[in-house]
Amino acid sequence: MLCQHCGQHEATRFYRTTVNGKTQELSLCQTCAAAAGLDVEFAQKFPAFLGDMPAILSDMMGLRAPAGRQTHHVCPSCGINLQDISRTGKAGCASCYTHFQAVLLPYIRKMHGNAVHTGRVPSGQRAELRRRSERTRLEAQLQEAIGAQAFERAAELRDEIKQLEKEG
Amino acid sequence: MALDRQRDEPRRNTCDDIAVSTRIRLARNLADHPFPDRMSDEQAEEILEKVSGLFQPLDAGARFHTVRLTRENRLKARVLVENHLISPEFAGSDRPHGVILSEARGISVMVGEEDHIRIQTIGPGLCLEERMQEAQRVDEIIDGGLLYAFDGDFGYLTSCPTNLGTALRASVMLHLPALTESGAIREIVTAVGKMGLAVRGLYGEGSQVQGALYQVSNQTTLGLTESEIIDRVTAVVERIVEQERALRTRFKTQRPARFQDRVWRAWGLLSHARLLSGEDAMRLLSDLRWGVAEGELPPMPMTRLNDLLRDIQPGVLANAAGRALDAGARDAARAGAVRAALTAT
Ligand SMILES: [Zn+2]
Ligand SMILES: [Zn+2]
Repeated sequence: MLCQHCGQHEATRFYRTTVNGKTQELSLCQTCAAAAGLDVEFAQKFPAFLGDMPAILSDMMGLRAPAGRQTHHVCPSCGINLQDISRTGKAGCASCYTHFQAVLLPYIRKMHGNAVHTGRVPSGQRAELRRRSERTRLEAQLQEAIGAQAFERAAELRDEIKQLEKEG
Repeated sequence: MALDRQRDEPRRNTCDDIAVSTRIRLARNLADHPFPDRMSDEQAEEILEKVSGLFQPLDAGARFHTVRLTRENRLKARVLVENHLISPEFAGSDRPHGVILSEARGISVMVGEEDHIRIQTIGPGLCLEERMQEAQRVDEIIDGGLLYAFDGDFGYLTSCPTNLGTALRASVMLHLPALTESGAIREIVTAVGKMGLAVRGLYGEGSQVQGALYQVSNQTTLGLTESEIIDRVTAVVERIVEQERALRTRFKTQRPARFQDRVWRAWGLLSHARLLSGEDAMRLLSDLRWGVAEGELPPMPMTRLNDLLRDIQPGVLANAAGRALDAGARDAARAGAVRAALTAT
């Protein structure tokens, strides 16, 4: 999907806004999102949890609509909006971290550095990670078997992959 | 007599001349439920049921039991706060909430705090590694039955982004009278802050740090493994302990009369006073602990002094008395509790 503002770059930032009761999706590339003050400005204000949200939102809406309209940017899972996150300093649900990643990430970076998780992993995820690597391994074997015209072996491998999918 | 004390290896290892207590906290949320701030009462109730259900079959060993906190048992909540088993915010929550406890093993699992689940393990002295293992055992009990909210990059997903990653807070409460007296504590706070850790004073009514007690804990939770965090906090605590010991020695040798007078004065007041305000008690108990740790005062188990810090709190006093206490009655009960502890053998 292309950026709705410049129409040139791949959109990587997705926002949902409600203007006068009508919900709109806004898909922007990183540059346009930053130009709207969404990534940078919010990140700078977020740490104090005193973000001047109306100004930021009107900046964002300035891309496609005159300023002064009521806008809301809402998590589809829990319904929290950016104002609430900014005011309380808390996400509303696990999906907020996906949905608001563009605005949360710079803030998280500022707090924890350029880090990714290296600690413990829940057992559910451990199984999922195992399944994923097992699947990759089986698929490689399958390609090999097909290449070697070992169709009986290929059928076996297909069954194994199906079995693996059923378990997931 | 005052010089023959049991202050050798075992005590040095846990640093309990200076380290009062250790606390591990793991924050966890369940996938597919909004975080507590956005939960309905029904959802909160459901999660409490589910989590406490996981501990039912295990009741025998650790004697896990669930305490539901309601408006009607605020005193119970207050006692749990003063025992450091739950947080003050949690005690005051209006949602359905409860805590799964094993007092015997120093475990509490708060359900419905800022995150769905807060696993906490506490213990005396410096024992981060051991308490961490205990917390991980509890974590595995819950992990075995429920699906956690987790992201490959962000780790355990928490309500507040400050706790992402391991969602681990490792903290040690330290008694630092000499560093406080000399003012060197200020430099320590700055230096420790630069290492990504925090030092907090335990504040009472005023702005004065109470009882020379400080809590050292990690700030960063994302990007380090659990053991790296534990190692870091341990290393910093050990350095602070070393500096406190050095200053204590200096204080004792440079001004022996002043040191002796100070700790014996605390001993005298605490063993004879009939009324003790909370603030006086904290200040005097700090001096008493210092005197006992340095072998100046008659030997006394450090755990008893740790217990006293808790037993002089208003909620615990009221609970022991079995009734609400006004300020006068509370000060009398506090003085009584202190005298009883000092005369016990
Ligand atoms: Zn663009
Ligand atoms: Zn959400």
